[in-house]
Amino acid sequence: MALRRFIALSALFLAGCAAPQLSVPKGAIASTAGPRELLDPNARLTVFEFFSAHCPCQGAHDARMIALAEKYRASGVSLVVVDSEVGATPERDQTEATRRHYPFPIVIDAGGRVARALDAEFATYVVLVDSGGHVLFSGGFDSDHRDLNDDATPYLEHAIEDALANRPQRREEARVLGCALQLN
Amino acid sequence: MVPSTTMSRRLSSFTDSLLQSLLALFVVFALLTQTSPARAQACCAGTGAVTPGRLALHEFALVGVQLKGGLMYGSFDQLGNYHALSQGSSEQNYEQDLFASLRLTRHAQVAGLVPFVETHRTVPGLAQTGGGIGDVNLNGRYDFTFAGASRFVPGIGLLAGLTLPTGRPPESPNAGPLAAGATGIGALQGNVALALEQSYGPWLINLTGALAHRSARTVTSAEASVRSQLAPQWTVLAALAFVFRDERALALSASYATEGDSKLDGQRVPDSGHRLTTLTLGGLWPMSDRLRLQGSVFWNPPIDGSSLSQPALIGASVTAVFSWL
Repeated sequence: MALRRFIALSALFLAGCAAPQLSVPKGAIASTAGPRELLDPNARLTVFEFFSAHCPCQGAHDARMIALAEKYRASGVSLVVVDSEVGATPERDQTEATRRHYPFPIVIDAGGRVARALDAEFATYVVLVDSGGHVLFSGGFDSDHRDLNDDATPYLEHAIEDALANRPQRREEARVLGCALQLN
Repeated sequence: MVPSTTMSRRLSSFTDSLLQSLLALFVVFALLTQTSPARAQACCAGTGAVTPGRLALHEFALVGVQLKGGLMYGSFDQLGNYHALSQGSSEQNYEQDLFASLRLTRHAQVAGLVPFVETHRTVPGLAQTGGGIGDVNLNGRYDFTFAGASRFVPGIGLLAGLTLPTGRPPESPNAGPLAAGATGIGALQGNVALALEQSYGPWLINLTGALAHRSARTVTSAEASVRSQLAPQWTVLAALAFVFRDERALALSASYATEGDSKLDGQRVPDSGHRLTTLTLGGLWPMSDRLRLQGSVFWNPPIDGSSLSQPALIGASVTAVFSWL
């Protein structure tokens, strides 16, 4: 599974980011990343987080996502939020990003190709990739569903910490409790 | 004056129809407990308003209880004509269902339901209350695909179930003079169903078709024993659900169940078939990740031709579901 993801992601990288044909919101979000920026070559680690505008679990995790992105930005971790769902439009996602106070862009994945390449089926599913295109971790953002608990296991944060410390991942995959994505 | 045997036979037939009606509702419930959550949200919308006991994708197991009450307000004759209840007659039905579901794999889940049924029935000059455990149901569901996973391919689920004759059949001497103590149909029933569902944003559309086969059974009365078999029953269910941002959901569904004439000792009994149309409005209110409340009102509309040889009921249910993630 991890190998397949690595190959898929590597193919995506090697294709110069044109393969997924991402349609980046234009003018809607000033800092919106383009296709090349989606892979963030300047970042030590890139996190793809799959987004659902309707999912209550997504909303429940917004604050944690924002906090994590801000915590690790200086360490070279880039968070890319990907909307692969039917009905995603720049206008709607701009509204969503504003409403949720996202400091990162929401990139619309036309055709759901990024989601399919990374086996994304659920909202709040994350994939952690290093600068070489290796998938280090994929799965749930944390062990919480909608009700947030202080004792939740922060899967993504653990994965980032392990990667930044250059130590083996304590887990390469984790269960996802987010909503089923309605893919393009 | 109606001879007691004739009256008993009428009541037995009537009770049988009522139980058929309840069974149809039960089958629909059994199907619904296995159909998808509104909007097919793996989290969140949970087992939607359309689907009381189905496990959401992120759920490992659940237990629940459903309290249901129904009031008979009329009936449909053998031609499908609706008639209001005659003066002095009444009927109230209550049911408490305990159910549980367990996920076997990502695509497969099994469930069981134990109903407890009570009936209060009156006719001029006579009243009876009875009840007990009903017909236990075991069922399973396998989802080949999930709603929303593809824009073009809907969620496809195959369902199969077995209803055991654990209840008291209408002809039982313990069912009482008005057969209010009847809690089952007395036959083993197997059913299969195909469920298609697709989500569009907050909307979910579900279409389910089911076929139920009832085993033959021996019915013994004071006079004689006969071999009785109900005809196969077809049920079609269509549902539309909407999930709000906070996961509350509303669903409207319509079901139509039909079966041909039954057989006695291998001979078809003319005009013994049934049809039943049921409209249901359901709602879901998630209390937490693990606890959700659901409610519904159901109604057999008093429209000539919409049902056949069935009582017309109106009722409501409240369901509480606790799940493990």
